[in-house]
Amino acid sequence: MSDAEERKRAYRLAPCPAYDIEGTESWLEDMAEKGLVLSGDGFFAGVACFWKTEPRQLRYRLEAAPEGTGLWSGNGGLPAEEAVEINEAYGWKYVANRGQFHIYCTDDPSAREMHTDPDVQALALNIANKRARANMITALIYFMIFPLIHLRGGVLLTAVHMGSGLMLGGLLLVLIALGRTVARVLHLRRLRKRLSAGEAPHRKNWRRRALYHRLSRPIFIGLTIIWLGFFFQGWSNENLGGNIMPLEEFTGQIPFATLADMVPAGERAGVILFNPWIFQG
Amino acid sequence: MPRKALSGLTESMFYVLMALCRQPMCGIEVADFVDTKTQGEVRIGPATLYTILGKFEREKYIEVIEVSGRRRTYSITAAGLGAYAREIRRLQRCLDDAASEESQLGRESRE
Repeated sequence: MSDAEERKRAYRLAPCPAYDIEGTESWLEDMAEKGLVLSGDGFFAGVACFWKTEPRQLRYRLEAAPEGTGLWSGNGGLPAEEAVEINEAYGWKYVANRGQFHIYCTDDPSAREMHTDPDVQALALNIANKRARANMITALIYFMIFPLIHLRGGVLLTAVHMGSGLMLGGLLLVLIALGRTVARVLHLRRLRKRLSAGEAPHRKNWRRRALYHRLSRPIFIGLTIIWLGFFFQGWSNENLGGNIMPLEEFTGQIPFATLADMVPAGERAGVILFNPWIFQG
Repeated sequence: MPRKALSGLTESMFYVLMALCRQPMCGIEVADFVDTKTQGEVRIGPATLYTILGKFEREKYIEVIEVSGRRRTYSITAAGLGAYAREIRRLQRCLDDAASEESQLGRESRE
């Protein structure tokens, strides 16, 4: 990419989560009015990539993806070609993905709304909601139930090995992640109910919770990276013997009973020490 | 868990089935048919249209009979015809009820 093209790009942290459809639509429209138009690179880790242009009046719409939006999903996470064609016929151009949604955009003020039947939109959203629920159950299994089964009840022993502080920190991060997933499921469910009641919400004041979202996300990611760093340090120490010290090098009070504690000093000479050669004859 | 079947048709769903009752069509032709038929009274948005087409395909109300590039042509099935006929009967009952109520009101006002 040339320097000229690079200069035209701008990156902004999204002020709302991916599942906040109205918030994302409103924010992208406000950005377009400031001369920032979402590029095809879309979002990565909550950061949106824009092209710098003249201020424009654009409409953005998020459409719940019928299939997953990951690269490993069917069609590489892109919308179905038929959907793209039908939308283009009515003035809506596919731009990028965010979370479980495809983002479309139009500069035509007369282009008809992508969804004209809130009941049908609720059906589409239902698919995204089911996927969010499935993700929540998977996360629960992988982050809470699977480790508990894997540890075979030895949570306390693991805490001793890893350090109870690290364990508690990990548990806290898992709970925060699960809480965010629950919030996503509840948000989508509320939106589906509003659509079923005939509402067609597209505008929202995204500024209200922007600071909270912009701070909480990097903090969560930062804490997770720090925790992983400590975890892998502890893990490598455990595996490479970093936590093991020869007894003769230890100068402090030994926290367990030794032979010297059990046998009086004068009787040590009579103790038969274990000798593996005895059993070989 | 079994997939929840459609409990009823919305107005746009009804018109999509009506279009496909006439002849097999692709998505854009369906939307054009509805625009013309209703003289613009019912306008189906593109996302609404392909959500309906996807749902009907899963419900086996319609099936794809031809794929040409990005364009898929759909044909209505026996299950789709049944759903369409049921909806017509339901709407007809509504109209009959409204007509009988109107004639009742007319008689009362004359008396």
